[in-house]
Amino acid sequence: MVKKIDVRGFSCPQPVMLVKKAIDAGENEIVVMVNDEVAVGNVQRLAQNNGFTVEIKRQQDEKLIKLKK
Amino acid sequence: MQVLHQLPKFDDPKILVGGTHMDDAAVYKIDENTAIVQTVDILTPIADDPYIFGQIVAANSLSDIYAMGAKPITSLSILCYPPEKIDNKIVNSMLKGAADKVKEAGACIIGGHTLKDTEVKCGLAVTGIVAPDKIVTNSGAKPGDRLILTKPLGTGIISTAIKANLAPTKAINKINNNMCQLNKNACDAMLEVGVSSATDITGFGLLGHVFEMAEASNVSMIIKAPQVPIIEETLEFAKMGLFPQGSIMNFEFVKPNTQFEHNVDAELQLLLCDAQTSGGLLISVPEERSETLLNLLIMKGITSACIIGGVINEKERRIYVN
Repeated sequence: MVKKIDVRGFSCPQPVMLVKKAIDAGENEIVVMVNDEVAVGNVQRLAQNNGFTVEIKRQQDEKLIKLKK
Repeated sequence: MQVLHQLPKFDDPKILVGGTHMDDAAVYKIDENTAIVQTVDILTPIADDPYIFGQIVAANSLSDIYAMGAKPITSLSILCYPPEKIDNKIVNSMLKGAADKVKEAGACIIGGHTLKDTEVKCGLAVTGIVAPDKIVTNSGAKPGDRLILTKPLGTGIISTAIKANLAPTKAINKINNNMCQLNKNACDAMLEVGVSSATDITGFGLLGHVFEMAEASNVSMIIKAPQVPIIEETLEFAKMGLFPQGSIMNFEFVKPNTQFEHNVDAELQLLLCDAQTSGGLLISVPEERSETLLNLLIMKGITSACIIGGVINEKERRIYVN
């Protein structure tokens, strides 16, 4: 199951906190919807340091971050 | 934010340091022996304990005076808060914290202004004095100087970790002590030894302030990343992606003017740009006096002080990090 996290409208550290919660819960596939550029970099750092591969898709102002272990 | 460059220019010849070099405080000559140094800074709460927050507010504002090699004498408090939400006891503790820190600096708070606002903001406008020929600006760094930093980095990242409820008490205490520490002893030491230039590290992060000093002095600077003091827990939070927006903006600002060697990883690059509150002094000192200054700083209790790099002739980039 892919875990979906919508953090559009949130700024750091909330996006990182929510993604960290999912990682700590053992999720292996996570999709994060985000529109804050700082959060994109921070979520990417968190995921890569936890062994996830990161794929970022940009659609206008929104970004879709796919995390997979 | 940098908007004050839009301020119309004043031509008074008694303005010794104004807004042109983005220095820490303004200096105005009174007579041949005395100039006044003025600064104002306001913070939103960065510590849960109001007494500690008050101390940080004062240490942060006083720091601009110390960075100019001056002695603080008077200050005025600025307080904004919602009276319907904030108990008077909290206001009292905040002001006591600020007052105790100002006393420790040997200065006084002689008034202020309070206004209603939707959130708490607290600051101090500080006035200091200095002999006009003893002013330490951010534009005096010379090739061959060494660079000394007096406090470790990490307050921005750890503050974000506190907001995320991830920071252990030990880390919180560390940054609180760090931010409450006056730059008074560091200032005394640099005046005793004699230095080329100084500034304090605050919102633009270490590299942001290195850039300002290098630009104002028309030189380039080398920063040896592994020698930069960093609060231990900061690296762990950096790996978790807990960088505040200010730190990322600082990185984007310095990037076109900075060359990072390959051994400096992405997190360390960002960490060197971490926005600090009440950070240490960055001092540019002639090489032959650098060890004397470092030893004196350590003797005065500033045990985190380290030589973090040096000054070279102006090159293609302002900053070289290796």
